[in-house]
Amino acid sequence: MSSVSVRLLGIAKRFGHMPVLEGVHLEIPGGQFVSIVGPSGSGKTTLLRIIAGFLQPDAGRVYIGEKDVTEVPPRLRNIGMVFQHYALFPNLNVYENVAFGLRARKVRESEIDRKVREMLTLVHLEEKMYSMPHELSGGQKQRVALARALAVEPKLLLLDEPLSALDAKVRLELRYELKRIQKEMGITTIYVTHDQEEALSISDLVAVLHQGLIEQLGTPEEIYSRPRTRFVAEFIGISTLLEAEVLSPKEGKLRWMDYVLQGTPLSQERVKLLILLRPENLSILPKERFSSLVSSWNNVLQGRVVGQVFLGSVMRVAVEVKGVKFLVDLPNREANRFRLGEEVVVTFLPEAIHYLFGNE
Amino acid sequence: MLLLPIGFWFFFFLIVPLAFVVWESVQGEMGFDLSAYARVFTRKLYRESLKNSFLLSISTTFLGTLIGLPLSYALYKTDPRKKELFLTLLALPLTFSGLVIAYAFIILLGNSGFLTILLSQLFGIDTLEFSSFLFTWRGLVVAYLYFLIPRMILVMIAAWSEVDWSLLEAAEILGMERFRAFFRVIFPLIRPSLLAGSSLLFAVSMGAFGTAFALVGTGVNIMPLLIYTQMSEISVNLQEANALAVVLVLVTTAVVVLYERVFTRRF
Amino acid sequence: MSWMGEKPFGLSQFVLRLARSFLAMYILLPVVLLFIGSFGEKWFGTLLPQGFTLEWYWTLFSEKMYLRSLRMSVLVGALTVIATALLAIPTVYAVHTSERRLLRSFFDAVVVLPIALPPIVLGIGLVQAYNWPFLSLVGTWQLLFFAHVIYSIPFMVKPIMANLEMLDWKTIEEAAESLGASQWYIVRRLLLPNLRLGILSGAIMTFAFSFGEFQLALILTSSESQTYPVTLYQAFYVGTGFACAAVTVLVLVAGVTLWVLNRFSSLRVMQ
Repeated sequence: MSSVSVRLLGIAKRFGHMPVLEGVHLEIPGGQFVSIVGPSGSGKTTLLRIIAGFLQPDAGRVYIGEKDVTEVPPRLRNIGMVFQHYALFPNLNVYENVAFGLRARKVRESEIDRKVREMLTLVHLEEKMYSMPHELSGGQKQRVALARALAVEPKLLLLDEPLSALDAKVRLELRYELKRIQKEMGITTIYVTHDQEEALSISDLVAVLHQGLIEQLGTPEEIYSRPRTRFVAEFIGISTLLEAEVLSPKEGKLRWMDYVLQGTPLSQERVKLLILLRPENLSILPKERFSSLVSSWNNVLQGRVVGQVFLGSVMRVAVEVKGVKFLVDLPNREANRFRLGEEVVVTFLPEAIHYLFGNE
Repeated sequence: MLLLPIGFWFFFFLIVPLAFVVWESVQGEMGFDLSAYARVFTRKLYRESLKNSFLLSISTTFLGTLIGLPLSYALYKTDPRKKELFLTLLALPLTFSGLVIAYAFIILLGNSGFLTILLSQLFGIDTLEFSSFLFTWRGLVVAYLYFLIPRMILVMIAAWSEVDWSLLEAAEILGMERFRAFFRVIFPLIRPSLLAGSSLLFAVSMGAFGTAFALVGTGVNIMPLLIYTQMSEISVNLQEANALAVVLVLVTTAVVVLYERVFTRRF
Repeated sequence: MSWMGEKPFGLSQFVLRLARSFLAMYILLPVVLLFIGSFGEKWFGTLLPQGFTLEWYWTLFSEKMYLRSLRMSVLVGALTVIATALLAIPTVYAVHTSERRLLRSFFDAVVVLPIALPPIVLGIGLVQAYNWPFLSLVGTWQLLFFAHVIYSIPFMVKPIMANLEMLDWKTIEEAAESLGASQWYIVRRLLLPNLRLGILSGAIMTFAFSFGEFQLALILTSSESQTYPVTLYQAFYVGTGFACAAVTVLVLVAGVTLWVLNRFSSLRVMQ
């Protein structure tokens, strides 16, 4: 199956007086699995519906491959779509659901039969071929929906929060299933979700949508470790954000409150900027081991333990420093050493400091 | 585009006929003339019919609501399987044509009706005297209630099941006495349905004439029957029949609107 | 379920049961009497009829006048069902898929129509509007059919609307579109099959209404186009047993209608 690229040029859309999309630019390379993430109301579903053709943008163009499809109706766009609530046709059995698109295209009966069986094998549902949709579990329904969408050999697969209606366990299982099938078929896929963890684990690329604009497009690793803006940093993963004053860009010296922080050298001239600290890059030590050295070391902050949350493999400890909560992930064994209210120091390496250049 | 067929049908078989009714009601022998309306309100026959229709409808509405409301609550409190059965049973009188109801009451309360004879055997009442009651407007009230009470119940069961009963508990926890809590908390919730239900009863009673015609012929002077007589008898009096029809529709609508207004504001 | 077994407002279960029995009696007694009466040889001045006979039904189904009016009722009923369905399905679809408020209120108006407009008023309007010298529809079954459709629209529209609202139609339609289906293909293969229960319920209700409708039929038909209820009205004065039998036929139509509809609703619950 040939894989096509998708290009969105300046897509804008408003509902009444409410602007939802404000000029979205996005280039999706062929064969990639791209997630669009954002909080509810960020316009991600609207964007997907514009790509599918169910909505017309007020401005901007949509290209699928080399073709401008902005004015093409959905049924001629050659897309496959999977919906949050399955949208299986309740009057048709599994076989006929999968065959629907092929029948609508008047494909030969023998070809339909071959294709339906192939698709049901792909999603491991051969034995449910003659079941009715209401006899299936949520996960099975979504597999059928996927098979149905893929049966017409679309150039582009659109997934609108397909896993959000499922139980946690099924969701996880289907997530990998989806990834496997996508890779197997090499089909360009756009996946919309509000679940950032899901997006990071499944995608080749992640686009973060916020207030009608793409804030950042990058690989999951980039989005997580090197967010460009405060929004991306806060939306993806857990972090501590500090507003720091630049003392010496070349040496990477910063000031936060009355502490001097040592980061990596800055490439830009700035007076102030936001810095990001991920909890797994911080650590805590008992105060007495540092008491004498505190003033002379960089990246050593004095605080008090104010909370602990057990997260399975790690313990997340909240330490309050000068009124700001620092979140620190510690291995469980280590975390047990600290009690609530205990005076501690938070410390980290210069490389733990990530600069957010995206904010002015 | 999709609404074209229904629009067409409504135009030709609803709007046009109604326009004719209005138009003909103001056409005298010498062109435009409102005298028919004047006669509707001055001639005794017409005034009486208006009064009778009104009395009939007010009585049926009042009694129907009074009886239907507690029964609807009783049914709401019934377990689901029985409720299902009763919902079907209640729909039965609504599916009957007026004719069925008329005849059912003749064999129930008529001159040699089942209840008439049962009562005369038990208490020695006079059958003729007792049954003559059925063919007056009061008798019509009894017959109408047969298809009005189920209507009320069906409307109210739906209302009860939408009530958030935890509000009642909340009010009780806050120290409100149970009956007071019911009237202060639950009653406002069901009031819209109660209004809609009783308006429905009123409108149906005003317009229905199948049962009445089958029971009393044209013997009781109520508006729909009078319109029918004015139109079909040898002394055809179309202008007045039309004027009566317009008045019937207007009075029904006015009462329903006024009623809902007054009671919505009161509370 | 908290309301089960709980004593509401101190009313005992006994009072509830009493109220229910009263209601059931009230609704069923007349029906049962009609039924019994239809098999009685003689019923005058006694509590219950005397003797047993099928004569009345035999008369009813052998007399030409009744057979003709029964056929007329079936004809008008069937045509009303077809026309009402053809009008209601596109209407419901348009109202459901449109986001315009106005359409919705128009729709609500259509649904309350038969209550708001007394049949006598529409009846005299139709008689006057379609009484031209060169072609008079007065007294023809066609005019009755036109009027029955107007009053049946709510019976058809309500169950179809309820049916459509149970489906997530917007998404189903989008899914079909994304698979390349044309509008007509979607209607034929998805819309109509998925609405079949609603359409069937509406059709049954409509037929029962049209078959038993008396008021419009009385005003609009003549002796050639009489439907069953009008003919039946004349039977009131023939004799108690015969009248009971004739009325019981109407009761049975209503009863069968409700029974079938009830089967539908339980079917739907099972799904």
